[in-house]
Amino acid sequence: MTEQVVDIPVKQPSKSWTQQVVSSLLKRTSAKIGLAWIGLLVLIATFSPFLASSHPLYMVVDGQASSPLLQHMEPLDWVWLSGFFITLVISALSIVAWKKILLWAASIAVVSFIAYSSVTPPVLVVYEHYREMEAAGKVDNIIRAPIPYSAKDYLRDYADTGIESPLSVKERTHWMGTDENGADVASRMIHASRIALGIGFIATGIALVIGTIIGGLMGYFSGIVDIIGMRLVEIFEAIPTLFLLLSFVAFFGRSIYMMMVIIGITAWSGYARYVRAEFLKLRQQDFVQAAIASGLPLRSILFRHMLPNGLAPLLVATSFGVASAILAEATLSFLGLGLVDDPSWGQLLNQAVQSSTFNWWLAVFPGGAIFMTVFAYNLLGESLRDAVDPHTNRGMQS
Amino acid sequence: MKNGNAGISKLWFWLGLSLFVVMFLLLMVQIDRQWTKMDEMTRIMEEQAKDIRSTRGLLRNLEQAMRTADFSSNPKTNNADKSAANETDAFERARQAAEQEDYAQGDWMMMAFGSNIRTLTPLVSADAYSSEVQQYVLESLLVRNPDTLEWNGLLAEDWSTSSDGLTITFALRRDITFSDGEPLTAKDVEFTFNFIMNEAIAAPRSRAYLSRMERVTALDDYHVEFVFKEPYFNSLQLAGSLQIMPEHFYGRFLDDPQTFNESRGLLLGSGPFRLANPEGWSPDAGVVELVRNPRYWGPVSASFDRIVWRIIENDSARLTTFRNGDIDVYSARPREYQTLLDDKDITERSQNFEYMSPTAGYSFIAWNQERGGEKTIFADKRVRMAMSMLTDVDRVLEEIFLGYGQPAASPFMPGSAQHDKANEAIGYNIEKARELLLEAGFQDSNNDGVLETPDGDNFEFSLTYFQDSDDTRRMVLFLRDLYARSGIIMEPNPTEWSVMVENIQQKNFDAITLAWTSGIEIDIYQMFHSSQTVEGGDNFINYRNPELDAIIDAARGEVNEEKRMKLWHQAEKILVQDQPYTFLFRRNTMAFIDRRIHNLEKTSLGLNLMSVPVEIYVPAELQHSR
Amino acid sequence: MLNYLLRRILLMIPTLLGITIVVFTVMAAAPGGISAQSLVDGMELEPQSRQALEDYYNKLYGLDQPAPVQYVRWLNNISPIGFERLADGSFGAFSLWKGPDLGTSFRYGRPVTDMIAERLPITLLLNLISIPLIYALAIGIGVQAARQRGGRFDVTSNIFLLGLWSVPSMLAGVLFIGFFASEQYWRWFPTGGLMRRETADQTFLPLFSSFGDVFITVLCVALITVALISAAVSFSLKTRQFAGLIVGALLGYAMAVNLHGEWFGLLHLLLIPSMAMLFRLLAGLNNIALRIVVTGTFAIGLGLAISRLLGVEILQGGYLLDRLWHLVLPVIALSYGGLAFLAKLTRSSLLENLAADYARTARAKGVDEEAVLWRHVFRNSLLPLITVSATLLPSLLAGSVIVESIFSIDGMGKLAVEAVQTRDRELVLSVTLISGLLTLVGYLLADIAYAIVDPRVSYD
Repeated sequence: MTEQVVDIPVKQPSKSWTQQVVSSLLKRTSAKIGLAWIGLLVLIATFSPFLASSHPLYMVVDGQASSPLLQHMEPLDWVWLSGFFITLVISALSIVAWKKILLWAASIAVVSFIAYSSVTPPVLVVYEHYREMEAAGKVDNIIRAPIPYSAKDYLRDYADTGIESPLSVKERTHWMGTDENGADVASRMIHASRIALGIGFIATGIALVIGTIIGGLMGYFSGIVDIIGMRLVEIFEAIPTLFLLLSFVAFFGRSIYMMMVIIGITAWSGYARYVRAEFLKLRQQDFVQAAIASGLPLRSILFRHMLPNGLAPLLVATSFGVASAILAEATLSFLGLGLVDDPSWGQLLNQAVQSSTFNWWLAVFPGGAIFMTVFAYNLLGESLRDAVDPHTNRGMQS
Repeated sequence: MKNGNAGISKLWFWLGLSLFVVMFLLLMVQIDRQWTKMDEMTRIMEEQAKDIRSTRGLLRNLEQAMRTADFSSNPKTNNADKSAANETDAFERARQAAEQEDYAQGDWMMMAFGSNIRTLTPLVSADAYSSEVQQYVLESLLVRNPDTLEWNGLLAEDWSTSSDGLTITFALRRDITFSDGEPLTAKDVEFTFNFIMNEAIAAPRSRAYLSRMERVTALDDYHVEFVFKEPYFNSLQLAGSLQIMPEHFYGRFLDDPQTFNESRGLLLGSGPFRLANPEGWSPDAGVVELVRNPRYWGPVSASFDRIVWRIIENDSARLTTFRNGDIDVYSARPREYQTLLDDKDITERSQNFEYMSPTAGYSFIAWNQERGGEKTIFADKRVRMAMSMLTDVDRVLEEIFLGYGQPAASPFMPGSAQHDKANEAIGYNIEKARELLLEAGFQDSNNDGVLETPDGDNFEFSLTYFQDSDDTRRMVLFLRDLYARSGIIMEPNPTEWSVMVENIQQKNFDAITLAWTSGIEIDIYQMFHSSQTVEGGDNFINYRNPELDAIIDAARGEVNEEKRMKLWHQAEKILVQDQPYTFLFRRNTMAFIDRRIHNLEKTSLGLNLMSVPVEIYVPAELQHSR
Repeated sequence: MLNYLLRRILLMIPTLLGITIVVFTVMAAAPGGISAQSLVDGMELEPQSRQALEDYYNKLYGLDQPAPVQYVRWLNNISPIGFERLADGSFGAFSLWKGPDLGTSFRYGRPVTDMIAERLPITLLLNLISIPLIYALAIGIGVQAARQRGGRFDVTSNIFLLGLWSVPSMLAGVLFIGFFASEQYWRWFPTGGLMRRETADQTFLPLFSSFGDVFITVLCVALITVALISAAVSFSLKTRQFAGLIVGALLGYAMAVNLHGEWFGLLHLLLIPSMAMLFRLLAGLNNIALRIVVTGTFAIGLGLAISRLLGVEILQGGYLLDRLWHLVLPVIALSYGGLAFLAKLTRSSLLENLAADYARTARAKGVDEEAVLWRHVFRNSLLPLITVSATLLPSLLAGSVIVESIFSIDGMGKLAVEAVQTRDRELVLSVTLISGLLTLVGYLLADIAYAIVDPRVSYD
């Protein structure tokens, strides 16, 4: 008997749920647009000191070469840079997800420690210094950043600076005009992207952690824990968010960390509700019953067994949550309660209506940036929702 | 499908029903408005009827007087010369305005407020806007002459001070009436004082202001005396600028102070204007309207029919309203002012004024000399002088306020007698400042660009300022960059008003920038006398100079003006040498005013736009028909 | 059901207490706290003794007492039974009929109840006008999108709505004022407030110079409306699109002429084609109802313009029209976000129901798609809309805050911001209480509505 060698098609190993979601996500155009914009923002935020700075990158004075830009880099700048590259490297590795997160957190901590203890930029900065030297002819060779103004450079060496429309001043090029104190708008927007992204991620992170823990406990235990928890959730839902934010900032003063924490604290109730709903459903499932029966510790049941299965609505909510966190910060700055000197998109928007003339470049550019960012996150959220939903046509395929 | 039609017709039915309901509601609103309007008209008619009655009564009296040829009982003729002489003082300028060729009565003056007033009731209201309104309705015994800055009698026709300076006696005019027709007598003056001093009335500020007065007594219907507890150089101002409130109108609130304290619009006085309904203003109207007082006692009646203030909080909305001609006055910030000067629409229809009002405040930076029980770096006079020399006030004025202001040398007004021209402002001088700092022990020993104190710390301090003021913020940021060039680290510290007040009380700050209001002659006791360094006092920088204390005490008790001014000059010299504050500047007011308003001019008191008696008018051909 | 109601209402009380405690703690814990010093106004200080002022306010409002005591005092004031509060601040006898007293605002010196009574109607007015508008448009768009799922309208409207939802309301408000209510661009709308001073004296309805004028206006408007609507309904797609193109170009030209500034700048050139495309799109809509609404509005405007040209004179705009004119921009700024959200909600709910079993059965029976949509699916898909509508109550305050600040409208939102900024204890607590109450009541109503509308849900 002859044996026919038949090619048995080898079944592809089925992708994990995460991989399925990611691949179906990347197939959608809206997700691609959203991710592209967010990626652009991340790049801008990471490399902002190199994109917009009054300190020249490379300067030769009297034969001596120096790099004022590198000298004046803050520890935070180094942390962002290293964080960026570390994230890239780690995401390319192929180890388990939670190990990746742990590794990432550890390396960021180490880098921060090194940066904050070793990097000491000069305390006093005089921005006009370089321009004055150049005007006096002392400089032999100079290479500047693409936008040669820092966010806080108020152009003191030019008298009579104020709000100017883009490209209206002959001696200097301001691609997006200047704000009311004389600083370059493009530079401020670039540096403000850090705050926007930072607040988005950290505030949502805080809200996520609090919401997951409380929601998880509520969903798992029910009964008295549920009643108390629901009252807590209701309290924080019923307080008008803007109001609470205003109170906190008005009463406690302004600091960026406070704003992050507060925005996080006011937003956790939504996540708690989702997690609670999911956990209520999952608790009845067999695998959870099995886990309980085998006597696993509580945190293991909650976070290793139940949570990964209830992630879907949480992911979607997170994306929209980041958008609303960014919006909340912009609103606060707009109402005048944000940071004073540090740039922020909302603060720039505020200046558009402050004076009696409508300064369109202060409304269009920062407003456009806020809009695009929020839009990008919303697009991402929408696509995530479609990708996760098993009923959608282009949902997951195994 | 047929069934679908049934659904659709149901929809139309409901739509029609809801439309009907909406129309009904609108009808109700319409009727409501008509009713309110009719109510108002009835009230006006009643007042007019009352007026006609009193005129008839007067006519009858006159008829009788003529019939009996009895002129001697009229005391007016006796004092005719005197009152005429005094009338020319307070009303002189108004008279001259009325004699101009194009003088005409009529038209409304429309202005705008930047924020809502919470109440128009005198004493309870505390902000500048409500006092702007009240000055047209209430009158005081004396007013300052805009040219000579001397006191002229308004309600009073004569006054005399006792030799010990403790008693001032006023003789009131005989023919003064409030806007509802009741006569104004010395009893009303006495009542005003007692009303203010009544603890149940919510007027703690006025009470504190008048605390130096012991009593006010009406000697007869037209003579009243003010008695002070001790001689004070400004007693005439205290007594003369008291706004007289009618007893017959406000007296009933002595039994019901709660209603008065909570009232929103109880304003009745003897001035050239009145509220159409003296009890009926409320903040939700969004406007304040004064109408001309038809029973005004003064020889010259005010020119405008109405004065209207609209409440427009948005800056750009105010500018747009001015552009449309819906308001007549627009005061601009420096940069705005310059931009608008180039705007043809604006310059065609308005005239512009830049002036400095004598009550314009002076800004300063206060250096705290003692914090938490320890002396700070600013306790050293040389450091303070160096900081003043490093503060380039001229450049701040030039770049941020575009030159609309002048540097301030001291708390005293440059044009007033209190100021000695020999005492000048500290100019910008980096070298001298560096020398002084070196002398005081500050140098950059480790060459990092930052000066160190004698203790070895970095020369670093925080400058507190009120967070809501844009111009102040710009100035602080500018100063930060300026100080940075000399190696001094200054940290801007924007604070909310209440927090700032608390920090001042606790003396919990390094340096703070604020402004005090000024005047023709001011008292610097609260700010610089060492007795005021206690908690709650206004000498919050812990400045103690016994020499200055002695001079201030002497000046306050000195009634002779010449001697007093010499003492103030000495005090000023000490202040300039010691620099407890770095005195910054006094700012101009810049305003655009509609061209049709004539006879505007600058006086020693500022612009005569809001002066009372009203001197400005709109010629007949330029008046808007209203 | 009654048990459920009772239980929910009782559970509201601890929640309300919790809310007020949180806000009170924030206020008390802040540096500066709640004290008499916060009542000093103004920026240029007058050198006068402040102690008398402070003592006075301390006694009146009890500000010198520790925070928990102040909170208990406030609780006593707002509860219907408790100790009465006398005029100077001290406490009188216990009474069962005291009635809730929200206190007196520090900054305004007026009873809080009065202020809220003044401002709440304004906010309500804004929102009550927005809500029906949002719902009508949202249902229209949602239905259209769901009908042609995956089609061109669906995809584009989805992106458009998402974009609309992402525009922060302050940006929208700023752009509206900047472009449509300012000197430099078009001055079609007023910059703020709710009415002009003069209209307080004017008549309610617009005043024409003679009865003949009224007749002409009505005739013009009616004729043109009827003509245009019938055209919109009957013309073919291509004709409509072409007509829309022409109309849009003309309008764009008119807008460009109206624009301040130099002639033929970039903006002018952009205007004409963009308006043309917009109108082409609007004219080419498939949904008849939407088409009728759009053409109807346009026709009314055109009719009025033509009657103007024919010499009709309007002496006075009248109170009603002026109010409406002032309301247009704020209402749009307030409602576009809600519109986007509701439209998407309608669409997803419709889609879900269109895929349900009963719809499949109907189709199997031979009912055509339109009827399936309108007779069977529509009412069921409205469920989430109904439940969401009750939770719109709390957003009354939140959304209004920014819009009211930008447009200078004195409503509840503005009051809340002012209260927080001036640390007005009574006002802050009262506004928190009321908004918390509204939120909780909103949720309760939503749940009840859900139970009424959906027979599957019951709370027993």
